[in-house]
Amino acid sequence: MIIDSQTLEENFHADADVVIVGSGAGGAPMAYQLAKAGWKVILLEEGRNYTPYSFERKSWEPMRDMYRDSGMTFTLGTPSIPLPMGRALGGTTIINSGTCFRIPEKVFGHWKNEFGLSEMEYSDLVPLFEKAEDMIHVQSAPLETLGANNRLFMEGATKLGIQSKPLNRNIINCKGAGLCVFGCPENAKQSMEKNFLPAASNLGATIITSARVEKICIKKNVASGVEGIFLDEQRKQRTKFTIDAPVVVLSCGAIYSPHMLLKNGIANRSGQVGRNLHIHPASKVIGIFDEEINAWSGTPQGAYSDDFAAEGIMLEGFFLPPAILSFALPALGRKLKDYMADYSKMAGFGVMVTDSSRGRVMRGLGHFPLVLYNLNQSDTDKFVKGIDIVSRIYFAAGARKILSPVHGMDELTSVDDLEKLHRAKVRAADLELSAFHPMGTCRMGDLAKNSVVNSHLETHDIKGLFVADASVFPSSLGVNPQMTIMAFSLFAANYLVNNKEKYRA
Amino acid sequence: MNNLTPREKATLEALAACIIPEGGPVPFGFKEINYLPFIEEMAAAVPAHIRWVIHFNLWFIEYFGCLYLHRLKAFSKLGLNDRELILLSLRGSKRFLIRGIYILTSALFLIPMYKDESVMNAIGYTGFKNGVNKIT
Repeated sequence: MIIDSQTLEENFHADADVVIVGSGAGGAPMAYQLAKAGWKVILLEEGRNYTPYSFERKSWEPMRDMYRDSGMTFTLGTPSIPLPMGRALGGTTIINSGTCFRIPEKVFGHWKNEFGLSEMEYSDLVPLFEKAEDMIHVQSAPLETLGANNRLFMEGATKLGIQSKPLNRNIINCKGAGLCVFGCPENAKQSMEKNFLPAASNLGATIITSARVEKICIKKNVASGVEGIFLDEQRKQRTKFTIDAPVVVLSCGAIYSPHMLLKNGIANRSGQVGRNLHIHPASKVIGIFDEEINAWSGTPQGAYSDDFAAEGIMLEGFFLPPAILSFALPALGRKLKDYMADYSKMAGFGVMVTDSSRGRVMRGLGHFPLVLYNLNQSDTDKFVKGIDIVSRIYFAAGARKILSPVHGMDELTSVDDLEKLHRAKVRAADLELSAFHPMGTCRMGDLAKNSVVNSHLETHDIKGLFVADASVFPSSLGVNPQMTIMAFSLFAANYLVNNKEKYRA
Repeated sequence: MNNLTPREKATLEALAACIIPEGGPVPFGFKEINYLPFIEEMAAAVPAHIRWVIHFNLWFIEYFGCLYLHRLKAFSKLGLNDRELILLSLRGSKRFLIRGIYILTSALFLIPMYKDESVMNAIGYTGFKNGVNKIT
């Protein structure tokens, strides 16, 4: 069952075989797989249950409700980068773009070579990807929902000999409402609260929302449960709770899982907790055309090009409603109005970089982590190349103007301007970026001295304490991570099922 | 906004004239757009620390914005051109935290502006509404 913690008594206490913290792409498949194997599962989610979500709401409300800190989370460094995360039943999957990739074999091979991962083979993951893809209905974005935004990019790319194609997405009957990142108004995007979580609930898992975990309980280096607080309507403490369980799974994402470990001062003998943060920094390129495009209509992230993936550059579609796009444009006052008057003639595509830069999550004040990240020059150069490619594609498709994310070069009017971009020696501080895929902060590996969890995602230091989210990725993944998180989580769940005598109370 | 001081109201008024000016190709501006109720509603809804960020940003712009002009005068008492120069400097800053002050503050005006039905009609936005997807 799925329960709002406000219906539970004060000083709530329960026992379980496993307690899972977080209901996103890591926690939900774990809950499902263990409940299916007959484990007594309790899953705790700090956010609320927005199913079915009413989209008669005002534009601000989805941001306030479903994003952590109303979407105002960011990294500190050069440049500082907005890093929005979900906080709702379903985690970030409720507000992501619904893009599905398996981990590239080359990346997995690199992880094997560098970190061992002796218990995990790519062939082990294939059936788990298939299972997850089946559960969340992964399919190629239907051409009729791509909208002019993606089609225009694909046409321009074809003219330049660059391959592009529709993305795989987790959808049923997508009508291209174009609002994936505010919670799908058609319930078409198959985020976790539509599949894994209700399935887990039907199999007997207890899912409690508005429950924030504060403490991981450890007895003699073995996990024994969690303590935390139930939140009231105003997100303030209502009462405390305790869950006793011999297995604790952290699936709070790559910012909050390490923060939880750091706050509790555990599982950090390697000193690697919170380090090696990668975020897939991304920037936007806007093309302004002569004809109407109505880019809001259709799937925003519907197409992509991975022709430059070997260089660490992925190109993926994006677009935003005017109230949000307006403050992301490089202009003020009357000039901004001039741009916004052309809103229906704009198209947008994103440049996502496989980052070699590394940041760090540290303890901040209270339950706020400090996220440090500086973009290095190598990644900056990848952005310049990516911006150049998308701009050329847009010019080939007939754009009369490009709004670039490079300060001081906000407006490009011809291919010649791109030469200026290359000559300008762009620095990290010149770029306007955002990021959506934190990872790497509890990296996995065979050696306890340079990794936090082993390849079945159990911490080296604490028996029964697992981390199942993008924290465990040893380096930047290079593609949208939700499928890989799900497959890894199912892998760890299978390990637990196969070794239940070691863990069950 | 909760406990909005007269000075903060003056700062907001001075900002509105720069960020959502009258005239231009989108025929609506600070005189038509009801931004104050939106700011009050939003500030009441966001967590307390975000509310304090909003207060801090207004305070910073009011009292420290003038440093970009190399003279000491409160933002709300400056002329329109000077105010625009300050906002352009904030927007163009290579320090994201400074740029962030501009971006977050401008959002207080741009969100109510571009979610206004008349403005959305003026720019041709007919996106998802009332459960009907208008794919054109």
